[in-house]
Amino acid sequence: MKPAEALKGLDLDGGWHVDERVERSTKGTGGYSSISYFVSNKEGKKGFLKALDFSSAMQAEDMSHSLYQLTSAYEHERNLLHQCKDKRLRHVVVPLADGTAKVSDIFKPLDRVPYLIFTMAEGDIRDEVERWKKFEKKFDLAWALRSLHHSAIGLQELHGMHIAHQDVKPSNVLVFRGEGSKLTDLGSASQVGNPSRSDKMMVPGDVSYAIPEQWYGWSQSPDFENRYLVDLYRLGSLIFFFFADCSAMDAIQLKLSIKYGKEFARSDFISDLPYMQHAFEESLNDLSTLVEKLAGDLTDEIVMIAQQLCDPDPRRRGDPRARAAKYRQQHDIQAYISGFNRLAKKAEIRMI
Amino acid sequence: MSFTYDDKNRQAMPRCLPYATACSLGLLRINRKQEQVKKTEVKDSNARRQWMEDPRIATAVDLVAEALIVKDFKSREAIKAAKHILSKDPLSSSLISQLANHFLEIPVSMWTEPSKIPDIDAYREDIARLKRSVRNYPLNPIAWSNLSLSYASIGQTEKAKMAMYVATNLAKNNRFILRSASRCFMHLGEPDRAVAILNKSGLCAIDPWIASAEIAISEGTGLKSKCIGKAKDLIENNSLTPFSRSELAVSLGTIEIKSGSLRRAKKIMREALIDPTENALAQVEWAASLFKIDFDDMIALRSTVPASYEATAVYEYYRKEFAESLEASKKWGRFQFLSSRPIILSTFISSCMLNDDLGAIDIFKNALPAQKNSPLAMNNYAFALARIGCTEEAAVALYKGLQEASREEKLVITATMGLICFREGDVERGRKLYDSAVKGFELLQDYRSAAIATYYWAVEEKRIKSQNAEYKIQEAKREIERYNVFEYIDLAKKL
Repeated sequence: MKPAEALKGLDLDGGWHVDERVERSTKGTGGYSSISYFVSNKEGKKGFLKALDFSSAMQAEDMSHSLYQLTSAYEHERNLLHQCKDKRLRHVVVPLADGTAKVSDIFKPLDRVPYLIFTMAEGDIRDEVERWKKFEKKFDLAWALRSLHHSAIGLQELHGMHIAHQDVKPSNVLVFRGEGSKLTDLGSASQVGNPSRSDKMMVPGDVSYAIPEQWYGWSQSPDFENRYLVDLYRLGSLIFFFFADCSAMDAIQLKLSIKYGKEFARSDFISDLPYMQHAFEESLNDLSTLVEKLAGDLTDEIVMIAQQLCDPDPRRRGDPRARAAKYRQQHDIQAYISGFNRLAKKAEIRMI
Repeated sequence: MSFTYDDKNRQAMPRCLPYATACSLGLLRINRKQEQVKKTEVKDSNARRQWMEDPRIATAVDLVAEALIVKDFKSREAIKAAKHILSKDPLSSSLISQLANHFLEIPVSMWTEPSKIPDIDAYREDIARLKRSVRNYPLNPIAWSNLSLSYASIGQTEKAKMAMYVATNLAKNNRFILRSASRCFMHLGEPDRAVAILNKSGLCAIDPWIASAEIAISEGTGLKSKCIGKAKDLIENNSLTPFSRSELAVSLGTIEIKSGSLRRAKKIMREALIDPTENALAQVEWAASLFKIDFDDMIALRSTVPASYEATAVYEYYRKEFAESLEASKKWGRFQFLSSRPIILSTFISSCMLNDDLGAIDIFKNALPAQKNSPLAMNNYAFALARIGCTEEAAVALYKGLQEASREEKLVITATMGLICFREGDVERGRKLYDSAVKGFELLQDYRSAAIATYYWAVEEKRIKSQNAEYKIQEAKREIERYNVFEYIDLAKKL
């Protein structure tokens, strides 16, 4: 048994009580492993606890280095979360509390387990979409567009604090009753002037959601701007998730694989870019057909946003007006926040 | 007289192919050998773990997509996940059903034979679709390139040029775009530009496909290639696949043939036959037929290399199996929709070797404007028309062909004008024209063509039963034999 597995039944600072352990993968994409629990307090408020798991580092060959990496990744995330909490970000999940839990002495000297407690979410957007499909047999367009709107706000809030999330994916967009969607998991995030392990990684975050330039390890410059552009791609990819059940990169890879009879192999980014652009266009055509069925006359605008956000060429990604304007930055999300809001409102009005 | 194209200076010019065709022929495969590409499995992946802990559509899609990317098609969990997606079919999107189906299917040969004769209306529809495509997504250089080729095929050369300029500006370093652009500019009469874009790409020294295109176009148009030295290094680079080096090998082999070193040419071209493209195979077939170089395995390769229509057409032609050669030429014409060579060859075979003038007329009429726009193709069409009695139409076609004809082509056209005069009853003028064509060919030391012109002159003299007929027949037989015009030997005997 690991120290992080021994939290069940403990009473923590702030009146929190550790209830059940969440049975799921312990390996995160953010550089440290964690074990999760459901927690509750005296007012009946439910929460979600993430306990730092040292065990993998203890078994590593270079234990001190692994421990250092693990704790610094945890510290980095905690630091970012505190900044987000201080700034009262509305669409980023921030901790309710954090601290160190004292577990049994048998784990000494590792009997103190750092933890973070978050508000309990209803689930992530995957759960929501699956619920529609299973029980309601109906796609909730207004909800999906509002969720995209909230995710875009979440990214803008983070970018405003010079933080690039770098791991936006359906499982990291949580759903809260009355508050809508929020971005979670800053384990792979980078911040300007705040060095972290993610800064050195070719693909910070989940590798299966790597975007075109990350697959090739290509970067137009070492600028931090490139990290924001990753967020833009991942935001656009959420459109693909809602309407096509897969990511934009999955769609591109599928089209390439079909064209090349399962034989597509990467050479270098600039040489392969035309093939990806062609595959992307084919994917957009498919997306357009799928969106059309669910969104009718809103299709063109939704597909246009997906096209701009998920352009395989990072140099052309994002709002073209922002790229053209000297006083705006390429990663400016404002146009998409307005766009998603307008689209969501239109869809909501139709529901009335 | 009907005539085939001048075959003495064939080069392995890059083919003009739409993107889908280039993909299906494997021309855009990476150059490195497969064993040098790192293999990855999804065994330890996050996606696999998540799918196993929480099997649902979202996690299944993540795993299948990842397995597809790393080409781990044997992963049991990924196969299960793909089946899971398909089992939820009404709930999953068409895109992920496509993903699951594609993941599970066994790869088959991507190449499918072009089934129908190129149709100008089909190309117009294609242009409309591609115009919509570039309007919606103007950054796709492949769509611009395909649009350019479609414009070129229906003879809209200015629009073809403009579309190709856009494609090359969007993708200056992409093999497909560079080869398409160079072939297109070559077709549009701008070989300098064709070579310049290849040289400017900086890929000649590292990409055998680009190097071979540069050498072939330069050699074919009398320009000096700048990358022969680099090409020799590339050909010896064993980390590159034999397939990627095949066109370069035949390009270098052709240079050796030109310099008279047949043994060296054979040695280099043999490299190309390890795993040739259809273009490389056609070049080897050309070398084998014209210079009597013997290569092993050619028969097997003709049946296994996809789209090897030109190689088959040439092979059957030199074997005097003209019906088979005609069939292959027709397919070659569908495959190479910018090239007039298959049209020239098939109209020639149809009229002259198989005595089917109506067939030749049909072939010409069904060809695309880009294929018809050649003095020799028009000449062969006029020849067939004249022989069935449509001399006025034939004269109009000949006049069109005359405008852009080279010196040699003008002589061919002169002989066909002689035929028209004979058929219209103006025998004396017909004789003068045939005589002028024969003398013209002799002046150019093209005795083979002179013998063919003499043959057709003799045919006309015999047809009108002139006093001159016997003398001309004997002369034609003598010349055909003397210059070994192999395809006419049997015909001459029957005169």
